[in-house]
Amino acid sequence: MLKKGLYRFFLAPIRSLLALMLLLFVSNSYAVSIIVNESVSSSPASVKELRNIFTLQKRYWENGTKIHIFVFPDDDPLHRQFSKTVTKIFPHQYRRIWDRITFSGTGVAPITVYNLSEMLEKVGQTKNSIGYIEQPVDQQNIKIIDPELFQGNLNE
Amino acid sequence: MSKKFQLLLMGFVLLIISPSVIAVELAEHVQLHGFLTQGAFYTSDNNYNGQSDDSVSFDQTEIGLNIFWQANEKIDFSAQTLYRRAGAVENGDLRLDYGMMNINLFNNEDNYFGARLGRIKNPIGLYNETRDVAFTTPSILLPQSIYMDRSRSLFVSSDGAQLYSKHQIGDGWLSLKVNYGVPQNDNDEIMRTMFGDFAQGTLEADNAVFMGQIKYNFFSDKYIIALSYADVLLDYDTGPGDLLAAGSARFSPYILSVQYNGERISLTGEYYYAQNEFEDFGSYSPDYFPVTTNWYLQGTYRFSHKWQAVLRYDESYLNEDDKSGAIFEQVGLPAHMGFSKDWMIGMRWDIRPDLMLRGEYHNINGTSWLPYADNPDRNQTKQYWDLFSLQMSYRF
Repeated sequence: MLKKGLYRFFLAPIRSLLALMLLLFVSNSYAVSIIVNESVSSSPASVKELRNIFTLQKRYWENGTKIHIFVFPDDDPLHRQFSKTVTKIFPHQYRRIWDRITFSGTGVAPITVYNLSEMLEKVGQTKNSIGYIEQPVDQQNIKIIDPELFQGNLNE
Repeated sequence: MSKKFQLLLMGFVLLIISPSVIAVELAEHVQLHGFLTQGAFYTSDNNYNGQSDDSVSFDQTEIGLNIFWQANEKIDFSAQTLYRRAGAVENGDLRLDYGMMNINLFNNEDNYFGARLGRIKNPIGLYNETRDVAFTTPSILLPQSIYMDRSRSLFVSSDGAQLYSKHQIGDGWLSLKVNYGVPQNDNDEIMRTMFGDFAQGTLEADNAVFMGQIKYNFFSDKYIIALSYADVLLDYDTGPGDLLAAGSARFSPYILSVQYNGERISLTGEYYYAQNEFEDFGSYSPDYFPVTTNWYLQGTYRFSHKWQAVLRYDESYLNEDDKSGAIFEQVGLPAHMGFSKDWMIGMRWDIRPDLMLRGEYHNINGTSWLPYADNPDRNQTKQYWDLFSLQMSYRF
């Protein structure tokens, strides 16, 4: 009797609350899909490689062609998600690296796009380009990289 | 409020209400970027960036415009013009900041080798290559122990060549840059600091000088350690009726830089050690070989992606064996020219990714890095002074 009361008035509401929180958490978290133009034959195969590309350490694909990068603005939630959870680099670190390169004439910082359709259009049209989106979409000229490659051990 | 300032203010208001656009892509392989920075200064005593002593000076403006052209997979060209006004030190000159051709000589997954030819930026410490770009610096005044505004033009860029390489080692990259070129040779500030008004000639680097840096950055700049070195020889050409002889000045600084960048906290320290030689200037200026030791420690805390605070202590001694500046007193100048101890606290507000406002307060003991042009009579300068500054910057 006591057990049943405890469940009804105490444990059950907590369980519902937890379930609700989980639901909110899931709906609030972003999935990130890395996309490349269909011309890219050797897509990045690890987080380390992805990090090298977006910090402009790696500037060429394996066949010697120059990499073109598209990103969302620094304060965009998806950019923050991509930075922190996929590549484990804070957006402010990216910005510092890109600004130093841009204003010392030593390279081209990623080009900022402002919405999903612009991202898909740019990556679809630009040979040797890379970008990211929230949900996988089926789009001409664009390849989606298997997200499994970027999960788990970040030192991979 | 001056007309010029009102115009600048109007410009900023226009920027704020305009839609945010970062980067202009002229053509598929050409990019255009720029920045506009305006500062305001107020000091309790002594002048910094204009007549700031007990009044507000707006004499700090920096406008840059750069272009980058990827000619082909191996070669690119880049150039930046810079308009800069900094009190009486620089009266609004338009200069070519850099203009170079970059050749990618060899690369594979883990190694890059290349060369840059033309007007190249010098890799000194953590900030010198982009020292005039407000968005890339930790504070309005760079730590003067390492980035003295007085010697800015000597180190900012050189006409010559740079060889560079980078190598992936573990979770980081080891990079090496070696510059060989003729510096900008606008060395009035250095000359006046050395000799005051009685120098009638010019002090210039007649030959190319060496500057280089070796750097290891671990985990995409989470940890950075770097060692920079320069060896600069300046020759003095006497002017009419000069009391000085045609001597030479040599500066050879080593700079050790260490930085940690976390999610909220960044910690930075840099240490400067230089052997200086002042030789053959004649009997009015006996040979002098001081060792300069400077350092600073700086902490930055990010409250959010829009707000951050910075705290720094910065210390300089022009001559390590004369920390109190007795040598200046002997020639009738204030002893506090020999050192500077600067406590600084500041706040930065990133209004938008392309628009930033920041403010800072300095409590300073000493005048070793106080610009000569703004303070021609050193006996009027005060040992203890405060500096307040506000700065706004826009970039695209």
